[in-house]
Amino acid sequence: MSNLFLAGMARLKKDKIFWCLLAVMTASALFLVISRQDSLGRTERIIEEGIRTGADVSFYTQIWEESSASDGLFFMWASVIGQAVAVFGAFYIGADYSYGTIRNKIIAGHRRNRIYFSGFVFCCMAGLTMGTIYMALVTVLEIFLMGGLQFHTAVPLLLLWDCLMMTVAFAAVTNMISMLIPGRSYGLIVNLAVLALLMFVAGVMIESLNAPEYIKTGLISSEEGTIPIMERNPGYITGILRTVFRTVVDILPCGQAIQLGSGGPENPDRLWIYSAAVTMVVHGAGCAAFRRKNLK
Amino acid sequence: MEYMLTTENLSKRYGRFRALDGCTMRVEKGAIYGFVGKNGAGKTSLIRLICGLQEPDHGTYTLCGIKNTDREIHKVRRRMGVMVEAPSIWPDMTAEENLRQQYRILGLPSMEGVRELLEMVDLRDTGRKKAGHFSLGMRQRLGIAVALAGSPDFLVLDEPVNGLDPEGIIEIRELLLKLNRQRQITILISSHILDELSRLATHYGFIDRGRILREISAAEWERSCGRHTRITVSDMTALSRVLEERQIRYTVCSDHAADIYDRLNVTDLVTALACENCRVETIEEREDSLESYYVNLLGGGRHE
Repeated sequence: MSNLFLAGMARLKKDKIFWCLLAVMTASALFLVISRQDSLGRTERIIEEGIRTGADVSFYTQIWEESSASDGLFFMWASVIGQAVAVFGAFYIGADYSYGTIRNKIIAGHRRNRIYFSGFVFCCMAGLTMGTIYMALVTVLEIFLMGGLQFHTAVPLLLLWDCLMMTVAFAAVTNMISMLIPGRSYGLIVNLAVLALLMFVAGVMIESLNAPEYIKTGLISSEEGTIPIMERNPGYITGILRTVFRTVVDILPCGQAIQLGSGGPENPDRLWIYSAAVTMVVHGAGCAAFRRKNLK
Repeated sequence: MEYMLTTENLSKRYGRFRALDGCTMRVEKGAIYGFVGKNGAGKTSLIRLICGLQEPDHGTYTLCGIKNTDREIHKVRRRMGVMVEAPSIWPDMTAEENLRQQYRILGLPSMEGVRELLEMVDLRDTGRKKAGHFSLGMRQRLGIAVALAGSPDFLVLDEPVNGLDPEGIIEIRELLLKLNRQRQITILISSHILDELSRLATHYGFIDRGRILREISAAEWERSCGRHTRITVSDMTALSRVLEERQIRYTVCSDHAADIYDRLNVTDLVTALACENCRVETIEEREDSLESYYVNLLGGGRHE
């Protein structure tokens, strides 16, 4: 196993896709922090102007407080890490098939489950490295610009753990697809297609879950002023369906990515458990299929 | 007799197509085994099975005496070096980096021997050139070097000279002969170029439709239908008499020509025939080609 790890590390150091993705994560962190600072600056100017003219600035003060928190920035990487791991895995593992070098490992006497596991390890490493680089850069910039990280959420460490476990689950899915579908091009297409489908499903479910229970259907004029008419939203889901939607969204890595990327998962204490379960199931199924696969 | 590889009724099916259908063969230790068959005969399928890339549907094989169902087969496979269909090399690495990568996969303790391997396959001067920019011949040689990285006892090469120019073919041939003679490496080589194989192999296995038609050593082949001398004379009766007296094996081809299979003393024969007033018109050495032997084996007349 250590032989496969050493060989994989030697490849990873030269892997252009890996370094490109790291560069993209770095650039994203810089861009997002700078954009946020720019936005805060404009809000501050509006507040100062408002105070000078005696206007009500409570709305803009609230925006400034929400934007200055680190939650949105710090966990933003979670919403794109699935795609990044998919691209990396498809090229890194797919290259082994395209160049025939997976044969070298089998002929060298390595068992298939170890070859499969080494692919999983490197997908994890790549994803966790990208996430870590992003978070480290945001932390340094926040310390420099805002004096430190300030979270609205009461459980930042739990959310961090959820993000890391979600990355591992994405790595398991990417590894399974890439190991069973030979070739970089096919692997990339299938990886991204599966991801897009799951993102769509999760997105639709989250939108349904986030629909308000009551919606405004009209206005009534009275002596006290205009009063909105609130009626029950027919699209609001309840009961077992709501529970099912919530569970599916929490189980799917794509659902977790959307929730964590926006900093607001409803059940942060369960997400990492679901990720661990998904990882074990996908890894087990993928490994079993790979053991039986006819390789060329 | 010690065998490096034996297969027993090996079968493999892809959907409805039977790639191997009860294939039984033996590769002696120290031999250069020429594996001959047309496209789709089952050569590559067999090589994939013995490399562990696929599992047989029926039958078994042994490598160095260890059965494929044995748990130790993975360890035994480390004694193999293989090049299947195309060289398994990293195009964005140099020749030396490719070999170092293979050394890591094999878990070899040091990189000693990398330069010697490059020297052996004449790639020592490639420097920082990436393997992706190599010519086909260079890639084939690098593939062989990668297969040799673990100092294997058994080298399996699937059509290693495909696409090479004549000079490249000669280089590969000389390399393989050297490996067999100096390092006693057993070699299984499949090829369509029968003429080239006939200069290399010590044993042949002919495969068609997933079955071994025949296995024969080079020595047996030469004895049965190999080299002979074609002689044309003015008096066939005199020739027959002289040859019978000397107990020399021959067959009569026509009224004036005969094929002689044993070694003969030409001066003695010509002198004896002269005493019988028989003129010798021509004497030439001939050899039945491996191609004609193979074609006859398949049923005669067809050309691949």
